[in-house]
Amino acid sequence: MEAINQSFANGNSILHKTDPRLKLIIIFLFALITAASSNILMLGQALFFSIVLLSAARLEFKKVIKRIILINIFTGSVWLFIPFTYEGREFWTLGPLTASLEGIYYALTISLRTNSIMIAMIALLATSEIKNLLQALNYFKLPKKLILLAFFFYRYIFVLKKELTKLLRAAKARGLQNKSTLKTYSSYGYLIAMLLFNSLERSERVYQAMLARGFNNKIYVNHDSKLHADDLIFFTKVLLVLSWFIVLDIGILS
Amino acid sequence: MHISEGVLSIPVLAVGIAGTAVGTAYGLKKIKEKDIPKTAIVSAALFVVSLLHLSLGAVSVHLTLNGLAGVILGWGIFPVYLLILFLQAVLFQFGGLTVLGVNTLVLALPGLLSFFIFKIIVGEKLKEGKKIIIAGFTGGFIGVLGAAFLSIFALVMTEASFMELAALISLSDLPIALLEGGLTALVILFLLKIKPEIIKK
Repeated sequence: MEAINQSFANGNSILHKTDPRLKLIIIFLFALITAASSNILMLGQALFFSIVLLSAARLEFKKVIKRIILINIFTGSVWLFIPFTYEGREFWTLGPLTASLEGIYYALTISLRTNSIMIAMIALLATSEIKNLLQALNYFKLPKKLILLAFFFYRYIFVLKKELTKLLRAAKARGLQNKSTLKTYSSYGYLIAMLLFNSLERSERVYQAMLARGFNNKIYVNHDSKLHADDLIFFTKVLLVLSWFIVLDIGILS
Repeated sequence: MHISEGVLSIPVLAVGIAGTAVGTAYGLKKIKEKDIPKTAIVSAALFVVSLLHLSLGAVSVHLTLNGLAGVILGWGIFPVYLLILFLQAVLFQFGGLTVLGVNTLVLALPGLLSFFIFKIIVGEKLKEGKKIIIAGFTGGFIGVLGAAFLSIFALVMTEASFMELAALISLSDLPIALLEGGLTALVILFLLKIKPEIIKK
């Protein structure tokens, strides 16, 4: 099982300190602008910008590289297929397969887009604790029920992960092995069912307990609701860069 | 398989966002306020289970179980997967933000279909027996295959030359579909023994 640690969220860089609400706005805008573009010149600069943001966050290099490699598994398979299936001018032949120039160009745009956005996501979103991001979401006028769901959901992920680890350990102590056998699969099936059962029992107890303590379906946020000058300066700088990207993409200059 | 950022075209992304918004709005309406902790904990359980890896022959796979999610949650599957996918994107950079809409539909729609199929096959009385096994297996199976089909659709709608790559990815989903079908049937059978109220009416 993977760990749900937020190892990137500890830090002192400007990316860590900026208000999560602004970071959310930035990443959404950046993702939208980048995803909408096919302009390699602009996308290259976008990638450069996201790498600059990432280095400003001063995260552990090895962990970041690992993350980036994982993200690029899909991109790698795109390169293996798209150049050969995309119609266009012949560029390179390998036996019966022919790569087209347009195909390579398309694969390149995908790689640039995926990597720019994902790297920016690491720089902007992974540098805040999830609870702060959820509290920030509270300000964006999302449906109340959704926010409530989100908070309970986040709270119980860690509790249930511990629960599942316990169940797994008990099963392994009784000889559960991770093989492709019917026995393994049925054991996992029972594990999942037990987890769901325990979760439901727990949710009933929790809800009763909260009602007994006066829960009225409102979430109180202890987040500092003022925006500081540093946040706004950072935000403005990023907005300027994003505007430059839009200009490049629309092609006003060409 | 979640689709990463920067792959799909804007029209496809827009349809994803619109569909998810509609589904989520309706799903939230269907969830009563007193059921929020229950739904949230089921979501957390689904999220945590997706972190498990089981071995399937030579490879290690992760379970989606969107068929099971559909049977338990009904229309609530939309906001649930929206949250699960959002968290996976933020925590692991698995999936993405602009593709959140598409990825949610890819999982939620087949899950919803599994919900309806389950209700049709089983009817009102949740009695153990062959019907439950068939309905459960079909639910799990359709969940995975439906998701694969919708992913292919989204990719090919963006760019026709994705067909080969998308078909290959989906072919590898077939054994997973069989596995999840079996698991879904098993889990539902077991849950009916110990807590029948969990299955959505």
